[in-house]
Amino acid sequence: MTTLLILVPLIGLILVNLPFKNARRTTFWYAVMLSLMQAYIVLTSDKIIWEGHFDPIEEYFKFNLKADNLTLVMLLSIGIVAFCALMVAKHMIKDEGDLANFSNLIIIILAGMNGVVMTTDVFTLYIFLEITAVTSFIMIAFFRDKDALEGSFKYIVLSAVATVLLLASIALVFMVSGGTSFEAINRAVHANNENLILTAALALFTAGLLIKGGLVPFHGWLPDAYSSAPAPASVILAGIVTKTTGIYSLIRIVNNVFGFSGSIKNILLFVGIITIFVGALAALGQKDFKRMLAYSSISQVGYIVISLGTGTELGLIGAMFHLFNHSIFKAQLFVNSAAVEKQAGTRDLDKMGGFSKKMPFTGLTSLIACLSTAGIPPLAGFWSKLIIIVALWNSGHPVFAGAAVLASVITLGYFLVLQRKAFFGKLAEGYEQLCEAEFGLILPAIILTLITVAVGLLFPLLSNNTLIPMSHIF
Amino acid sequence: MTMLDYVLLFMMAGFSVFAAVRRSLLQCAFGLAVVSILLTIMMFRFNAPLAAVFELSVCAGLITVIFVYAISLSRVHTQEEEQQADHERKLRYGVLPYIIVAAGLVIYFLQAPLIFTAPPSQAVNDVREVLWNQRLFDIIGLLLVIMAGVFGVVVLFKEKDANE
Repeated sequence: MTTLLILVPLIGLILVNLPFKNARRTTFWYAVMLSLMQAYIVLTSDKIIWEGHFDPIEEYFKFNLKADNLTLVMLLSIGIVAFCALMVAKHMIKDEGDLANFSNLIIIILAGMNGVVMTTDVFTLYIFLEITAVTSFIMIAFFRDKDALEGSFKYIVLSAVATVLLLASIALVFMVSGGTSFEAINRAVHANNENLILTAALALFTAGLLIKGGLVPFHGWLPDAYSSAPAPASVILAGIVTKTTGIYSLIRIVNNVFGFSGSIKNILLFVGIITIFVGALAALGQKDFKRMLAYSSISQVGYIVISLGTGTELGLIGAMFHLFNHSIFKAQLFVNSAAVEKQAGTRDLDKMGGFSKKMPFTGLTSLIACLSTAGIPPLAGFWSKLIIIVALWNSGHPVFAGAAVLASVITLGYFLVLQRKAFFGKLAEGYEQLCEAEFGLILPAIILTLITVAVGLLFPLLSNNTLIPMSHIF
Repeated sequence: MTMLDYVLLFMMAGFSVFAAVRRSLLQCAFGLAVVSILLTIMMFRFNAPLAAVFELSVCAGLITVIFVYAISLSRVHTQEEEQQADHERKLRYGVLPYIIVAAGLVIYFLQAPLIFTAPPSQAVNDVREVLWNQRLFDIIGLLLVIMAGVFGVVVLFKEKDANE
C-alpha cells in the first residue's frame, strides 16, 4: 500500500497530461479522487496492509517505506487538506487550463508529502522535501503578481539555506554511519555516543527543518508566503505542507534517528516557547486576515515543538495530536479567508464588519476554528493543548506549562479581535449586497468544522484507540 | 590518484569558477551541471557509487530545477547594472579558489581529530545495483521533481507571455 501512495499519483499524473482529447479536463477530478481515496484508505484499512508483507508491488519496487501510527495520522491529514485545497481551487481558479495546472501541482505535492512521511532514509527524505518545496514555490507564485513573487522568492532563498544545512548534515552522517537509512544512523549514534560529528549533523539537520517549519528565528518567509499565495495554495501550505516538511520531519528525525539528548530537548523547549510568543504577539497587531492566520500558525507550531521538547511519550502524543488538529483548523480558517476574500474582495480587517449576517456558515465555522485554536473546551484544540500542558508539567517544566497557558489567552485575544472586526457587530458600509460563498467553498469549511467538533467530543474514545497507539512508532 | 584524477579535479575547479563568475544564469547552470558530472565521475573512480548517485541526484535533478525556476523569476538587467554586478561578482568570487586551497591545507596540516568508529565498508561497485536496488525511490523522487519543474516553467512562462 505504501508504494501505491507514490506510484498511483505519479502514473496518473503522466496519464492525465498525455495529449489526448479532454485528458487534462480529468486532472482536477483525478486529484480529488486521489486525496479522498487516501483519506478513506487510511481510515478504513487494516493495519496489516501498511506493513507490506503481502504486497507484490513492494517486492518488485524496493522503496523501503514504512507506515506506522504516526505516518497514518499524517497521511490522513494530507488527504483531507489536499481535498479542501482542491475544492477551494475549483471556485477560485476560473480558467480551466490554470485549474488543471494547479491540480497537477497538488498531485505532485501530495506524492511529495507522502514520500516525506513514509521514507526511512534521510537522503530520500531530503529529495521529497525538495519536491514539496519546489512545488510550493510554484504554487505561491502561481498568478505571478508582485507580492506572490516576492513571497515565493523569500521562500526559495530560505529554503536554499535549509537545503545546504540538510545536505551538509547528510554528508556528515554518511561519513560516520556509512549509510543514510534511519536504522544505520541510529546504530551509529549508539555506537559513537557524544560524537562531535554526529552532534554537528543533528544541529545542522534540526536548523534546516526549523527553517522549513517556519519556527522563530527562521520564520521570516512564512507570513509573506502564506498571505501572498493564491487562496488554495495558502490552504495546503498552511494546512499541511509546512507541518509535514518541517515539523513531522523534525519529530521523526529526533525521535527515530538521533534520539532525545538533554541539549536537543532544551533547544526544542526554548525554540518552542519563543515561537509561541513571537507568533502570538505578532498576530495581535495584524490587519490582514491571512497575515493574522500566518502568524497564528507560527505560534501554534511552537506548541507542537515545545511538546516534542519534553522528550516523553505524552509529549510526543501531544505534539502529533496538536499537529493533526492544527492542520485541520488552520486549513479551515484559510478556507474561510478565501470565502471572505472572494465575496467581499478584501482581506483588510479594518474594512470588514458584521459579515456573519450575510455569510452565516463562513462566520460560524470560522468562530469554531478560532475557539478550537485558542483551546476552548470541548473542541479538538482544547484536548491537544491540555495534553501538551500536562506533558510539560509532568516532565518538570511548570514555567513552560504556565507560559503555554498564558499564550493560549493571547491566542483567544487575537482571534476575538479577528471575529469582532470581520464577523460580529454592525455590517460595514458598502457590503449590503454581500452574500454567502458558493456551496463548493462552504463544503470544505463544514467538513473541517465537523472534524474539529467530532474529535473534541469523541476524545475519550480516540485517546485509547488512536492517540496512545500513536506513540508506538517504529 | 592518477593523472586523470588530477585532470578531472582541475577541470572541476575551473568549471566551478566559471559557474560563479558568468553573467548568464543559463551559463551558470551549465557550469554547475558540468561540475556535478565531473564530481560524479570522480566518485565512481574512487569506488563510491552511492555518493556518486547522491551527487547526481542533487545537482542533476534538484538544483537544476531550482535554478531554472529562479531564472524564470529573474528580470533582465540594464547594461550598466550588468557591468556593475559583473565587477562585484568577480571581486567576490575571485578569491574563492584561494580560500578553498587554504582551507584544504589547514585541514591537512591540523589533522583535525575526527574520532569515530568507522562503519564497515560496503563494496558496491555496480552502479545498476545502486540505482535500481538501493536508490530506486530516489529516482522516482527525481522524476517528480523534474515534473514539478516542467509544470513550473509551463505555469510561470505562460503567465509571462500573457503579460507581454
